[in-house]
Amino acid sequence: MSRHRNVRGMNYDDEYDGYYDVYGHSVDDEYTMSPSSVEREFTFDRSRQQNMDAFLRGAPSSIAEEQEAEDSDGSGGAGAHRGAARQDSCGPLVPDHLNSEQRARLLSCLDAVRDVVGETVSDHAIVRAVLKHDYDCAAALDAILSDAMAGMPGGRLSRRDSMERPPSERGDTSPVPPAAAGAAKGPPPGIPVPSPAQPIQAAQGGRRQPPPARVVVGFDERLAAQAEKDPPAADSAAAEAAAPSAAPLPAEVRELRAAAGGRSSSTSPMSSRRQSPAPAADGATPAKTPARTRDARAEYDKERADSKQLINMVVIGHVDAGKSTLMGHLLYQLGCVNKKVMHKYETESKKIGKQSFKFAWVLDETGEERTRGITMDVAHFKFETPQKTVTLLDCARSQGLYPQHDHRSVTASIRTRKHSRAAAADVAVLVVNATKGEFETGFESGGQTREHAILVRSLGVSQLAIAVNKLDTVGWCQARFDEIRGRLGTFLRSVGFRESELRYVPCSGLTGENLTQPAQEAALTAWYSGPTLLQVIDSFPAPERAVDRPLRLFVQDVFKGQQQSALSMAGRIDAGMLQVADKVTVMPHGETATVKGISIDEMPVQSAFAGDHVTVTLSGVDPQSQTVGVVLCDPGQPVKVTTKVQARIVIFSIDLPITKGYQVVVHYQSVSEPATITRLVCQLHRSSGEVLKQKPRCLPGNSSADVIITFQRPVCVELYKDFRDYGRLMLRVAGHTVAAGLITEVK
Amino acid sequence: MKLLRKDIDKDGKGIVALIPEDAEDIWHAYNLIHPGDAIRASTIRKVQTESATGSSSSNRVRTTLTIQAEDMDFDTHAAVLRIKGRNVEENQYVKMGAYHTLDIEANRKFSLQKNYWDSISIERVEMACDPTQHADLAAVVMQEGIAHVCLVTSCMTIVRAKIDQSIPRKRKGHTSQHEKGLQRFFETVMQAVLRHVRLDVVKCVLIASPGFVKDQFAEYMWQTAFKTDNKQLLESKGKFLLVHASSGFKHSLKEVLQDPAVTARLSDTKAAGEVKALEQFYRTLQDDPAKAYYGYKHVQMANEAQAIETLLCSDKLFRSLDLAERKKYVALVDSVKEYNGDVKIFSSLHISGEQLEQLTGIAAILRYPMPEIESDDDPSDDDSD
Repeated sequence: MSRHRNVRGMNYDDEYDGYYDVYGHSVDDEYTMSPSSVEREFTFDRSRQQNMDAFLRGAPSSIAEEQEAEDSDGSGGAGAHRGAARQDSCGPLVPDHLNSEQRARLLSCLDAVRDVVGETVSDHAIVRAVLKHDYDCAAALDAILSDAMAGMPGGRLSRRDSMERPPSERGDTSPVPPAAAGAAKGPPPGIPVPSPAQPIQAAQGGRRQPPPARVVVGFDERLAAQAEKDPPAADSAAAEAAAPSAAPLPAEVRELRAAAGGRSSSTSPMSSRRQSPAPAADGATPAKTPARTRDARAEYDKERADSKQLINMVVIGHVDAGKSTLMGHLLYQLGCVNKKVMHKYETESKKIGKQSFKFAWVLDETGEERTRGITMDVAHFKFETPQKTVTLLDCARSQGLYPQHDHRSVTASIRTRKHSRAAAADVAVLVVNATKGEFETGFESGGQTREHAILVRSLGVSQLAIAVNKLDTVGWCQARFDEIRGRLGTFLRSVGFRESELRYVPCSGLTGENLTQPAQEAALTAWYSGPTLLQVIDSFPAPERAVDRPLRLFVQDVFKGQQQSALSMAGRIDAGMLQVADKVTVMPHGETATVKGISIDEMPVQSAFAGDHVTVTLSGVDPQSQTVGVVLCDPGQPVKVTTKVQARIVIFSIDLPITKGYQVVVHYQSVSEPATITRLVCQLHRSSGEVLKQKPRCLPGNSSADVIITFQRPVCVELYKDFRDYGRLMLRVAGHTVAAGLITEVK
Repeated sequence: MKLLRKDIDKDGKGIVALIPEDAEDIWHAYNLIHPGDAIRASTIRKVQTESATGSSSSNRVRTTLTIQAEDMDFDTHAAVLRIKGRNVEENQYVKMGAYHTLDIEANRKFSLQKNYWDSISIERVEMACDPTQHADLAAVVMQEGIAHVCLVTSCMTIVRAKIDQSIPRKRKGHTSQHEKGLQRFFETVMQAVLRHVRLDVVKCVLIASPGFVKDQFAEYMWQTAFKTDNKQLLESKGKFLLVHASSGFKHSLKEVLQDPAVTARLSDTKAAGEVKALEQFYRTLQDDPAKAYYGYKHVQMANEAQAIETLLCSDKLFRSLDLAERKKYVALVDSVKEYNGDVKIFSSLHISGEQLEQLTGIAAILRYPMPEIESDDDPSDDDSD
């Protein structure tokens, strides 16, 4: 109809006057009701307003006011909406009265704070805090968090956050020296600062870096730390940065940190942290501190206080001294072996013709061991004495029943196995054969009596019980006993045992004399009235368990668990504490794994402490790459991994001198690795330790020296000065132990 | 190695033409060729031809090139020798001065021209061509979970396969896992042996381990051979020898070779002789330290006094790229021979050679003690690590 007179003369401007006003104007512009504003205005929030009455009364008026404001503005501009009471859903709230510069600062602070707190705190609150603290991000953040803690119901978010945090982050928040922290003012305090932490870790030489931390941090820890460390709320960034770092790391930590040094300092922050819920100064009540705060020592005492002390015992001695028979008989007398089983052993052994071995069979499990009469691997038994629980690590021995087998080969293999177990022992029982001629054979330079004694001494065992076995063959002759006692005593003193730590017990493994019952034999009671073997074992003092130190579990065996496909590792916890669902780092690979289950002696437990032999089921590791010799350690303080160490060694009597390039097999804990002595640093005096010669050409036998040992593969080691028991190693060549030493430095 | 032609005049200049036959010969060639020598061999070269239209195509052409060696690269495992150098003879495809890398291949002739043939090189040529020196020995050193399958020739010890498996320990009531793990391990080792050891060529196969592992393995092997009816393996049953070793690591091969049962079987292998000599050196160092010295300076001082009875040196010294250093060592060796001393050159691929290398590569046992060498020496020689 464009030619119609009405249409032709139409003034389009008039027609379209209010036409487009609708576009770009949404109902929401005028009646802005964003979810947060709805929540704020129309829902009753108990945490903000305690009085429902006031709310009910107040509501209409607030609504009415808003209505008026809207009506009066009509479809007006944005300015009217930006009152203090409401905010719209788009863009941050920026008060009008700010100039552009202040606005910019406000926005940047807003961003920084947002990075930390995420979406949990409203823009509005942030802006308010920032303005209050005059654009100081740090202070504002602090205030916001305290408010958040106070305002939010319980640790809902905190729990989630703290669980999200990877374990590695624990390591990163570790020792940030105040100087470095002061410098790191950029990122708001409380964020675990990866960069200062990593140089420290790098400085500790040769260690794998844990993966970088994530930024999200649980509120509780930080607040708890803040509450504890500066109740007066000194708002300096340095103090705040130092606070989360100096406070023992996230609540899970119960070990000392290198920077803090010493055991004592760790316990005090721990204990003060425990009290932190009370003195939270600025009203920040960590309503639900994560339950994983734990004090290892306290838990250990609690759990194990009433159980018997646990000691690990190893039985050593020359071939044919009768170790297995002695132990087997002892277990039998203690009732650890079923009578029926014993009878079965007896009949079977008679059948084969080795009747004397019936007791030894108690400990020898595999078929081959039975047929050959040799304990090849080391058996593992637990028995109870009146005061102690003893884990018995039998020591393999060989038996010349099949003369065509190379005696050398057998003992060599046994030695290799034995080292790993002896490394875990606290006390040792040295069994010597009193039979005429046998003792001499065992004691001569080719016999193992000497070697075993030196071995356990260098591994750190200081308590030794000497069981003079087979005395029945010499008719319980006291002269013989005294003779053996004298000779052994001299020798053992020269090795380094103190007289007070040695105990001599006459006994007989086969007849069972003087094992658990006091001596019955008239010939023995005539001159001997001392304790039985069991009493002697019972009287060993149990060693101090390093429960407070960082977790160290040297793995001795790796296998796939029975039902599940998860990997199981067996070993002894040398230090620290382990609980189910803990995260551990597997060195030398550096992977992080979660503990799915712990079992001691086939019985599942929730937690295990230093000194326990455990089997740990892990998830999150690559099963192919795990071998004997990996170490499960605390993610915050992993064990050092290196190929080169400097060690101070004592060289025994050897055939050939040690020169540069000498190839040895190093036995460390349960691991044996081929290695080369790459440098002879200096030769030392045997007892005084003073330097005799720098850069010697070669090292003769019976001397002491500092050397540098290079391994073919990276190994996990600990320094002797950090962990006394685990800084020892042994050098062997061609089946003989040539030297034993302490690790002094990691290169 | 087959010797085709040897033309060396009294100045020491000359050409020698050889055909290497196996890996050991290539190792000898590696030791013979020094930077600066001219090598002539047949090789493949990529040639770019530009046709009239301008399009270039590249062909691979086989020609004979003579290059002047600059750099030698020997791959132990694959036994391949590569020589990089410039072309010094006119060739229709390759310009003068152009770089080329030659592969010294088995069963292909190559000729070597040197400006000066020293005594060591001549000796090596003779040794390489000597047919009686080929004593091939295969050895398996193992322990539970670790095994090394090695081939020991007179000059080389090559580890053909290394097996590293984790075998679960025996635990109370779960011994089957250990058994299964062990069986799997044996299976792997046996496969490695069958694949890498040429039973028709080898004279003896040693199986060494601490303990009873070797017996178990041997039993497993015969059983499997019987089951699968492996004729070759069953026929060479007599070549297998079980010996004792102290561990499953490579250096226990040393002890294996010293075992009297082994030396009786293979008398006079070079490897065994080297081990014995090194052993003697260590013993002298222990008993009478003034009669045993190592390091160039000390040995040189001893030599000047004509005191050296046995000189042990590693062939790595003669392979150094620096001509002056090579000459130094050659001169030392010559003078020791002149004074009626015995020179033993250790192959650096043997275990004993590796150990000697760690000990600076040169050592000497003297006729009479010379304590003054030790006291003269100032202890400030640097030890780089």
